[in-house]
Amino acid sequence: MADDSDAEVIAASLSEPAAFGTVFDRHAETLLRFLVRRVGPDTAEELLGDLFRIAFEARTGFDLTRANARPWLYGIGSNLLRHHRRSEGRRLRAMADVVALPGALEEDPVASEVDARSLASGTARLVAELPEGEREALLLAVFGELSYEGIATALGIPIGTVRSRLNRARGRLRELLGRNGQREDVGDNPRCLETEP
Amino acid sequence: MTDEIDLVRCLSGDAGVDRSALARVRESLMNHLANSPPAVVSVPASAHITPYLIYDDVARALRWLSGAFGFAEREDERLVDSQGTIQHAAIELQGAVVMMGPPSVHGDSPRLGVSSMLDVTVNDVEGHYRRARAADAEVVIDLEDAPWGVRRYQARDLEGHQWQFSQPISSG
Repeated sequence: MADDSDAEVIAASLSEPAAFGTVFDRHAETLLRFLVRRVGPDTAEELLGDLFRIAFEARTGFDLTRANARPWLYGIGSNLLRHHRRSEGRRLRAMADVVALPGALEEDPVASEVDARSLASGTARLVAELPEGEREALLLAVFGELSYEGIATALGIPIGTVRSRLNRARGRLRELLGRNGQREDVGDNPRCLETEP
Repeated sequence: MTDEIDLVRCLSGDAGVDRSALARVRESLMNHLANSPPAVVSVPASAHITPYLIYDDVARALRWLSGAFGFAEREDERLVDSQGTIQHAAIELQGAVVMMGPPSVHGDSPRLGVSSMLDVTVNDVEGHYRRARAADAEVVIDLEDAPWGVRRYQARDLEGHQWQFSQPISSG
């Protein structure tokens, strides 16, 4: 079974439900990481269980011409996340506030650190306020590391729609960069701040 | 130049994966799988022909066909109208399916004259023959080895449909 494609494993799981465990073993870690990034560890664990149970029940509908099940699994995950839109937005806004908090800064922060914090805060707020379709495509691309085609499969939309949604989101982010007067030397080496309290 | 996408990537930090969470979810999923029946998959359409018989009394025909010929009803196919009359039913024998219903636009009971016959291939035609005899099916052709290589018999059912049950001799 180790060499079988996801499609072959899923086909086998139609008559042998336990075979679906292989789909979990191949993709659960990646999907858990994605869900943790979206809604935090506790909700993510719960959603991961729901995701694979739903995938298992829906396996008769899996398109067996697709060797890799990952975009399909992300699609189920995206659907589940819709019920958590509000809490995800709150999480992002809280992140924006924490990052921007003066107390979060070290005693004598260098200017580039202040810039970076302000930028991270602005980004969190911007993502929280993106239209749902744009945000989903963007976060599947960034956190899920899906290709345009993978996103199209996951969301069940044409690849052209994926491209235009991502272009719009990129445009908004570029605007944010411009508003922050991001300096080129920082921009070349974007630093990720510790955003968890 | 910054890829603006990196701004978003930074939001998540380095999301670590909690191995124990993975293990918990896995265990619960495997339990669920162990208690799940195989999927009911609709078979991709391949050409097949299903006979549809008309009976004045479908409920009675179901009982008779089950007793005499050993058919089992596919109960989830049964349609019953508000008067309690069976409007549609399906029976099967070793996977071979026959559908039936009361007189309708599809046809009338054959009591006025037989117009067709159903040929059913079975695994044990002798046992099947004994069963039908015991149930007083009216045998039209007694059990015999036909020259084209099948052992077969023919019988009429309670309302006069003709049935042939046969088995390839080589496989017997």
